[in-house]
Amino acid sequence: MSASSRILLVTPNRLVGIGLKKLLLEYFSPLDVSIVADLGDVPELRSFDVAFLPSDSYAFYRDRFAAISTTPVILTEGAGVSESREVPLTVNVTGTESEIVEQVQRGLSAHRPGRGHGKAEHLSAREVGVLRLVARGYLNKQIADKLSISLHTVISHRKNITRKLGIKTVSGLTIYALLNGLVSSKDVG
Amino acid sequence: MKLLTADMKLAEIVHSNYLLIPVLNRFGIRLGFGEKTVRTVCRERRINLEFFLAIVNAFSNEDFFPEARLRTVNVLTIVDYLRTTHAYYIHAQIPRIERLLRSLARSKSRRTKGVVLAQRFFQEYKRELLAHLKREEDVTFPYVEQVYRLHRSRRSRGSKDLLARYSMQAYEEEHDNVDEKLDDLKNILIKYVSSGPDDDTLNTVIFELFRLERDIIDHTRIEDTILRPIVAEMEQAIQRTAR
Repeated sequence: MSASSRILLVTPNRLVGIGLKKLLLEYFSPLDVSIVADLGDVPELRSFDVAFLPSDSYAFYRDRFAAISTTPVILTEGAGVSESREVPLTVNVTGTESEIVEQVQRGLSAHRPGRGHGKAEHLSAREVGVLRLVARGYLNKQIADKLSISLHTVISHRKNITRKLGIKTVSGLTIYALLNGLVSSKDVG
Repeated sequence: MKLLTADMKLAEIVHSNYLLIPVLNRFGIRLGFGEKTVRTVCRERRINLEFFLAIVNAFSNEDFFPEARLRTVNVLTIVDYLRTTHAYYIHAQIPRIERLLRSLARSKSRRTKGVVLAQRFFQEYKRELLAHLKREEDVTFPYVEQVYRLHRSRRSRGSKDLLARYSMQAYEEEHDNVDEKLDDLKNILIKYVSSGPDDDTLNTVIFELFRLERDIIDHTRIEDTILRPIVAEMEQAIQRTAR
């Protein structure tokens, strides 16, 4: 459920844009992909995580990338373009699908070094406390009273628990709590 | 996903997506259709070709949903199809999952606690799902059929009573989401239950849960985006005549 990366595709060639967008979504979802014909049409370049763009466009707008964290990835036709010394990230649009996928992946991972991926998201002590009470059948309001926290805080803990475990229903959370020894079956009744 | 068309062989459609076999069954089509094309089989079995194609394509391809085409289909055909999918859940899919869970619980692995809990959880889900299906069979579908007949007759007698008892608005409000539990069950089995030596049965349960979930999503999509709007339009037309 982490926010998906925002990707900008700059290409005057609509078909290249559609193709690259399909490929991005097929291999790297979830992503939020926008296509424009010209970088000049993009006022908020900084709001994108990665921008795929033709080399001439990059040469023209290079300064805009200098001040922001958006990663530029150059779309080239054929391997080994002079630009590649300064900007190592390129995608050769004449390559095979596997080559393109690998190059795109390199471009994407340059920006997000495993953010939210691979790292196990454990419940905090407070979340475990809330989960125990949920499993024992307490309602949000009662949990708030019992732990002396606001209802709002209880709700936000519950949202985080659901996000971390991928379990939404009270019955599901109860089973999780039982399986992990957070409550015993006589607590749940 | 390739678009399925009238002049393809039925066998080709199954090769493109074997999960469609039970969907074909719902139309009364049984395996053993040889080299026949979709068009031929539909003609022989008096199946509405457009409806058939729309259903199999929508089932295979999440992004493909030919609303405009489906809206021209007779609502009785749609209700019929929805009823047969209910029957499939009730008589085939749910009992199969129950059997698998039972056999998992019987196997003497060290960690069956999770399986027992999952079994109980599935029973809870089953009760909810069955109540949901029963409500549609007892109330929604008969109502839809009555609205259809009244609309076709172009008369207004009895329309006030009918529309006062139930409506697509009421259906929308009560049409709650029962798939959260199913999703949770999948997650619990995938992440927190260890099957011991009986991997294959647990895997099969999970496959079946994914399949059921997908089928129900498709089913709900037909109800919410096709059935509800068509019937709501009929309701409005009836109200205009009644005035």
